[in-house]
Amino acid sequence: MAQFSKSKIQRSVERLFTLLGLAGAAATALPVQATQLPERLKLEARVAQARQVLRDAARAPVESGSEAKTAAEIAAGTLLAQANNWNNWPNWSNWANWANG
Amino acid sequence: MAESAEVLASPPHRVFSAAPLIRWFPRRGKKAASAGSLALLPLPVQSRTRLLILQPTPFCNIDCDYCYLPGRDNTAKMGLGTVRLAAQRLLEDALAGPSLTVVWHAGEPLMMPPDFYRDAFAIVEDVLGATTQIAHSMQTNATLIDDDWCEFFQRHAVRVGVSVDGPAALHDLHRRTRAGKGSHALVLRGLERLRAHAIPHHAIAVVTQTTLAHADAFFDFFDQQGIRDMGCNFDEAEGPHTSSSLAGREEAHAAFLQRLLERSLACGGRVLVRELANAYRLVAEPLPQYLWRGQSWPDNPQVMPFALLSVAWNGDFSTFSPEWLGQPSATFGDFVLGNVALGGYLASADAENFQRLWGAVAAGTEACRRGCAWFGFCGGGAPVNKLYENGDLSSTETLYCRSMLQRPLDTVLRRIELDGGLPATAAAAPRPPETRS
Repeated sequence: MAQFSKSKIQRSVERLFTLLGLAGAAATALPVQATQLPERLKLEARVAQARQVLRDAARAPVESGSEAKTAAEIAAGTLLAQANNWNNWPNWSNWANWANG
Repeated sequence: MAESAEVLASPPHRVFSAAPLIRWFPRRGKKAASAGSLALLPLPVQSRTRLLILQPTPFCNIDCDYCYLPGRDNTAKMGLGTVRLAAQRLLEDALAGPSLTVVWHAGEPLMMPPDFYRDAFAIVEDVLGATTQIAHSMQTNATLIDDDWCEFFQRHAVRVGVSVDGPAALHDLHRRTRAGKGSHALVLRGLERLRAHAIPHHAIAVVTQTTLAHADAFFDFFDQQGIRDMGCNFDEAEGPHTSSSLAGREEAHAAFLQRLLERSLACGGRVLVRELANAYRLVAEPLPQYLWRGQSWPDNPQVMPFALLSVAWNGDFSTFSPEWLGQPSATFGDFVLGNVALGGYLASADAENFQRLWGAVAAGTEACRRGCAWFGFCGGGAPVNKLYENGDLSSTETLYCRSMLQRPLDTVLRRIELDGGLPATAAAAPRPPETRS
């Protein structure tokens, strides 16, 4: 009986450690949510909005036959230029962008 | 697939729902890293090296007053044996991916003769060429460029970057010869040779307090020189250059950027400014993410071990911020993590100095993740600037963050909001520390 109890306790302790180990491993593996600062959320929303503006501009280029463009047409044309340009810009990663000199 | 970035999944992110999640797979060759370092390192993925920065000599023939290099009087030279070891260690550690850029920089690379580079390029090709596409870049003050150099650049398809601060009145304020004379005329001669040989080149300018008031003259200079791609390195406090002339002048910096953007758009993109181009890229597409500790992190090679590797003339090497190799530091052993003659790059990660440095850099990245609104667009800033500006690698925002990333992005966003008829917003606009509540 004493032997049975010891074995049972042993198994229970082993199970407990196994569970603790698994819980620890799971906690380590779980991605921690990035801190959602209010300023961060505002900035991300702002960028998302700008991204949409550029995408819309790229999809609907302005067409105007008249010489005198409205301010809106000029703005749309500028946006289109901005939208079209970003992928044509070179890969800057090999530039020495880290210090004076 | 192991040869290229693998898109695994979209990360759980509010805005960046389409952000690619990238994992780099080091190729394990027969001589792959020993002691299981790749698997054991507490690193954000086992990233491949993107830039191998080789410092062929610390010496520079001119003496700019804002230079961060403490040893620019030292005429020591890198030997070809060191070049071979620098490449060989990369191969042994499986850090060389399908493509690699070797940047020859710091001090003036053209102080070494073309013959040195001819042999050095052949050695790098001999060691890595079978598996890696190598491109060579040089960042030069252009004062020594002549027809021989141009022929060399052409023959080896060297990507040339010229350091020039704009018109003479701005340039000669800081970029002077060792005799104290302005170097602008020499630079113009070099630029003329590059054009005559039709060698593509870009320019990098250090922007100081004086430049801010002369945005048009600054922009016109690059336009007149036929330089399409130019970058602004906004004056930084680093090493022996202990203070930035831009500190406290952040409104003028904002106006300067806005003017550069206006000019760039007005000329149809004939001159593109790197910082604004990067900002457009950040608006257009989210930063790639990498996996570490079960999380996705925005890509930033300055906080990813071995993504940038710097090797000094004598074989000493470092990683993270390229400019701290050669700077004195009692805490971090002068930032020297090892020497290619004595051991590999990855093996250095077992040493206490690496652990201390990596721990501090990682703490700084984590602090940015927790507290900075701009983290998703930068991934943790520049460690060296945290150290020299804030005195602490585990700190967060710096003037460098505001001048190189935050304010260019804000400038571009404002322009898009204006043209798109969106309500202007002051949300998360970068502010200098003194104006914060």
